[in-house]
Amino acid sequence: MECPVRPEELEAYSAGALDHARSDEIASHLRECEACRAELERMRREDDALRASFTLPEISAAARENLVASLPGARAWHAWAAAGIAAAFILTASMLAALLAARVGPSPTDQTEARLARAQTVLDEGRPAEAAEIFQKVASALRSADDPRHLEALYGLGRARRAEGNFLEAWVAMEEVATRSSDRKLAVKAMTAGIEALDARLEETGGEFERRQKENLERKLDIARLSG
Amino acid sequence: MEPKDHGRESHMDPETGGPESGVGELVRRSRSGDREAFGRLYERSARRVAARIAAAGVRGGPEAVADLVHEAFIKAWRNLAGLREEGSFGAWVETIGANLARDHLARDARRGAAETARHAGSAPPDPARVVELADAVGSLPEEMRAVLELRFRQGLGYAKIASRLDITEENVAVRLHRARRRLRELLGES
Repeated sequence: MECPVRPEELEAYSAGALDHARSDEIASHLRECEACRAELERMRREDDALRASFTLPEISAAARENLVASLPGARAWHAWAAAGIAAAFILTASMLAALLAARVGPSPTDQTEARLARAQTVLDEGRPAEAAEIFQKVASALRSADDPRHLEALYGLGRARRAEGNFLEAWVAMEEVATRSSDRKLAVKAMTAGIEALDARLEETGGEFERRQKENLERKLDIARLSG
Repeated sequence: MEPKDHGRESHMDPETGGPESGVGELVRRSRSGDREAFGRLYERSARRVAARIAAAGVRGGPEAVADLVHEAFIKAWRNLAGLREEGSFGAWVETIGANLARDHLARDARRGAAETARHAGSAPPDPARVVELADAVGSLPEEMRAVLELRFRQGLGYAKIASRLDITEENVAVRLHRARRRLRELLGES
């Protein structure tokens, strides 16, 4: 007997995207149909693996260089002991100096600004992959801290991706900034840059997908300009 | 995309296809402070470490996973003296990564963000399959990759995907299902 549940419906059921009535019917069918239960279970395992595969970072040469540069010095144990004593002196001296100067370390805001500025400098120097990596890390750290400036970092990431020639990634970043930013100026900049990225992508692929996305962004940009 | 036994081929040399050759030598050189040798170890193992961390269900996207990979290798560098079998560096650093991912998830749970990026109650996916899947997704046609990206990378629901792609929600399901079928074919699991 043919199964009354189409595979696409099971797909939508698994994602919770069906209306209540059809969802209840499928839930009831699943109690009877072992094949559909097995397929649903398989889809869910695949979803977990897909989600994980989309969070795999690029293992780039820049990431490797960054790691190698940040490795602590490797020494034999007696060298560590000597270094420990020296470090204790240095620490004491630094603490005294800090107390005398009555200064504290840079605030998180300063650090963020400094990292954003460094990424911008790296981008200006023509190293977009490295800049993208820094922007990405800053965006991630700020997003975890619920800091709205993560969208500024994401905008930088989009520019770096564009400079790399990765127009799809550039658009994805700009689209997110355009959708989420409450700063109208930043949103308009992101929409404009997103349209440019899609233009460049259209030249590469001539795809329908890019054309539609570009039209959507152009509509949004018109609305944003009118409302401003 | 059913699970396969990847145990035997987990730590093969990507260049020769045989058991990891030269890893012991790279570990010995790293122990004596050779950073470039450690960089080579990173090149060989970082993707699998990333897959293990991602498979644990860490939230925060590729950036959060990349930070944990970096941390895992720094920890490995500091503790190289404790590695007994030099040839098993890959498995060892993967375990360090998995432990860091577990601690990261526990910290999230304490902050109230208890959910992982996985379905409730499910076992973590096999890291080797996660890597294979990432490669397979990369070879899909643009239209399939776009719908998968919106669903699994950006975590959007059907309604938002439909609006972004200017299609109906039914079409979202159809495209996702086609992409899933294609991936199964590519991985020889149809």
